Amino acid sequence: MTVSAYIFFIVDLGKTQEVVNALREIPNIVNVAVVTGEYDIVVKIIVENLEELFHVTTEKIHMIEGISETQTSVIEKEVLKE
Amino acid sequence: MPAPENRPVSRFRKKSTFYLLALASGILTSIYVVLDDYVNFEMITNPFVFGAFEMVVGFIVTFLVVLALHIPGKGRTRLGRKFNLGYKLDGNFQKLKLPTGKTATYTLLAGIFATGATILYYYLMSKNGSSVIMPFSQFVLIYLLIGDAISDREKPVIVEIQSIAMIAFGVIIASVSGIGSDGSFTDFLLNVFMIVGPFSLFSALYIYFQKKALTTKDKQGKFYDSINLRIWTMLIITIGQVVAAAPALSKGGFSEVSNSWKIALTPVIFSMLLAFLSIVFYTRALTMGKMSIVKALSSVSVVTTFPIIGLASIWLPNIFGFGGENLVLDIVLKLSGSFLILIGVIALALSETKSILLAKAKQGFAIKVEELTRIKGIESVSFITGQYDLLINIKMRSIGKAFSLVEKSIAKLPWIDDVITFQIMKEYE
Repeated sequence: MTVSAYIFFIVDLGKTQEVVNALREIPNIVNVAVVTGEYDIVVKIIVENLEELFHVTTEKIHMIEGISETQTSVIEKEVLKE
Repeated sequence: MPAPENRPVSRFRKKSTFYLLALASGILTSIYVVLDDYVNFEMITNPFVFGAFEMVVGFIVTFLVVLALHIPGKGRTRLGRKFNLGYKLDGNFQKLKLPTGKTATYTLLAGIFATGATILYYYLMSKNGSSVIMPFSQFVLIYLLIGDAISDREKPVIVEIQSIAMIAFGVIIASVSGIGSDGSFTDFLLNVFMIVGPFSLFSALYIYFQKKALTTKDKQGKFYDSINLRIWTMLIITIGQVVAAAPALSKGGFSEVSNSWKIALTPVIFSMLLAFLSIVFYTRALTMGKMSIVKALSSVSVVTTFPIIGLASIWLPNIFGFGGENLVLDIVLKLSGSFLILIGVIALALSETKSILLAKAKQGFAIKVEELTRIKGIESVSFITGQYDLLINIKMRSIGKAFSLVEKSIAKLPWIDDVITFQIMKEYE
């Protein structure tokens, strides 16, 4: 059973494209969206378990230069349109 | 690890793969349609006999190709399965297998409607040739737009109406020169009726059931693949074609085939190989996006058909040559019509906006997620941990429509406390 999560990013000014490129290198990330509003980037990530989520976020994502703040929300349930 | 339908974003953008598949399918289609036109005009003139011959040869060729796709390659797939050549064409392909459950019903229905469309394709081809068939077959897009609008439960927006009008007029302009040059006005009306009516309707239903077959999970939670779908629908088409050709075969059709099969075999094999690739690309694209947009992108075949006919006319001017004295007028009409179709479809393909909404639910109220998933434009709803309770993905034709969706539908639900919206500027899938 995999674990999916959304991660919201606030990025330093002028660093968005670099951060996007670095995020796209991480194989667990299945969607990267550059958005308007409170956050700059929203990504969807799929991992094996919470342990792997911890490793990917702390060892890979948090190491990317230009990210100033992240917030991770684990998906408890996903419902597609009828 | 990510499921196969959620490929990582690192190598290609999903959108790029989607566009590439649909466009490649369109270009391959234009080549095989011109080849079919050549064989039909030069070698086997009866459309039903030609159709049956091509489908029988095509089924054997496709079957051999599918067997070849079982050849194992090095390494294992993402899910630990042994890698084979078929996986390269479609990540869901494992081996030749019969569809089961609902997928079997959808495959059967796709096959039946494909049979109807294919029989009409050969008949109309023999009457009009490829330069008329290609633009006119784009009428199916109008049915698909209506189908998408019904499935999304929304009225078409202005860009969709504009696109429908552009495509319809483009088709008429690109076709009128070819149809008007020979045959009576009654023939012209009959052909228009056949193409706009049953041919386009069967094609639209064929596309619809292909999409249903590929996007329905089986009991093990797995998706069917475009390679298996093609081979089984092709079997149904082949049986249908042979049955339709039976009267013509008994009235001299057999002798026509036995006289010409040797010279017709190579172009037919080539045509059916291209058709196989084109349809596999097309159906794969169908699993990634809206039916109308896949059809729209692959309708680049309308434009690519003309340079191919132009090249073919150098070798075979009696078959593919544009109408003699009206050459310039013919080319201007066909190009103008084709560009009108292309602009219509590009406008349509580029007119979607996506947003992400974060919503908080009111304390003490039950979250009724089905009230959200019923709303037009909402693609998915995720229950998430953290500051907000729900993440809602929406896809609309305009930002204005997205605003109406939030203001009039979502914010009015009694259990919604607060909503914030993020407009997606760029997305990598």
